[in-house]
Amino acid sequence: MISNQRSSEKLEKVIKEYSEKILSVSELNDYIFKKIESDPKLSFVCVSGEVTNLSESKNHLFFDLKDKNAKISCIIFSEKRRNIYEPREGEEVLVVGEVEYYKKLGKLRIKPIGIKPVGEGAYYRRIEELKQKLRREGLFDEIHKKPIPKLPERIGIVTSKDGAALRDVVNTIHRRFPNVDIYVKHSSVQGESAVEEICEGIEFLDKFNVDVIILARGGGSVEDLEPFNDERVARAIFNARTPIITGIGHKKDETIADYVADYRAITPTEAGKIAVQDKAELLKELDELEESLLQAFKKFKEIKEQEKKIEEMEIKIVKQEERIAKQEERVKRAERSKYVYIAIIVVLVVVILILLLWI
Amino acid sequence: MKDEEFERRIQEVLKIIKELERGEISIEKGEEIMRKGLDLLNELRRMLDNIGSGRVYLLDESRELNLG
Repeated sequence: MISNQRSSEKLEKVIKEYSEKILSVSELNDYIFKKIESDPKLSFVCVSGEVTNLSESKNHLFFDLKDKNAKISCIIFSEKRRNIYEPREGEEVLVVGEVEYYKKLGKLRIKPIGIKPVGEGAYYRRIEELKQKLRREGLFDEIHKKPIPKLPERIGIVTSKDGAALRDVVNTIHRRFPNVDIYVKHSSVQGESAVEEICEGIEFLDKFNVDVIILARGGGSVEDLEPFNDERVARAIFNARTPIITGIGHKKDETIADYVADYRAITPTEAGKIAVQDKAELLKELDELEESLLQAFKKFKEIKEQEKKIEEMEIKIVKQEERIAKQEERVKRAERSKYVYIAIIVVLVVVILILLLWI
Repeated sequence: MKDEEFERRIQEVLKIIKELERGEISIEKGEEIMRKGLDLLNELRRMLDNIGSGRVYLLDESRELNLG
């Protein structure tokens, strides 16, 4: 408390002394700009480093040049790109150019006038070597990929509790399946402790009996995504019994974690989509199935009614036939009787005639 | 995991539909299996509704997160 008060008093004193010399941000940036522009050493530099965070916007090419301890931004404007070698991500290069201070953003950057490729950069090489090693061991093999459950009841997420990625994943999951439960295990997703915390998060959720784990992180620089290119994270993913979906960065960001995961989603939002089916769609499918069942039953009943009618008609036909047969019999009998009567009459006539002749 | 249970019931309903389409059973038996099919579909709907409560738990702090 006392020390706070003292420092506050000291600050007030300094501000009072400098009251005439207070600068606006523009004034300060102007000053730095002039200093840098007037330094002959900075108007022409030749720097060696590894290309990272390569991107393109409005046809301008942006990248960082880095070594083990530091990095600096570079920009090649669209009109210059035709004349300058275009480096690849992870390439070791020699950049010749001018150091410029971009006043608007207060940012130092190199404007290359020439670039010479030297070979693969150390970081890129290290990742490639690790990738090869894990591939040889079979960590990327399809045979090890576990199926993602269609109806998970408990979903685990390893990510930063303060990151936008968590909101994206949770909102996507609950938009598609509002009543599924989500368990979040906080982990740093960049910096020194990230690797350890990500591994701990995966191991914890694997034992916590969730049905699927999402490992998520929003976009960032190549350095920000470094933990996801770490061997320990790759092995933690591989050793988990629970299926794991990765949703790291953007489409262009591919990490070793993505190769080992059971499913690689291109963004955290996509990971949420893969984790659950759309409940409304599922209910619609059940309604369609019910409609098919009712239709099948309706047809079944119609067939049965037709069968019944046919049966009744058959019975009628049989009865009719019997009646006809009886009538035919009666006619035959009548025919037979007719001949008997004629015979009797003939006999009677003959007898009468004989009697008349005899008399 | 509800995957298998869900799939098994769906297959049962499909089997009932096929049996009705074949039409080789009696009308009484047909009515009986149709009712069974409707029951299975209602069970499937209940399964979807009973998956969970839609909560988000922050495990490190043992509390519920509200990201709304």
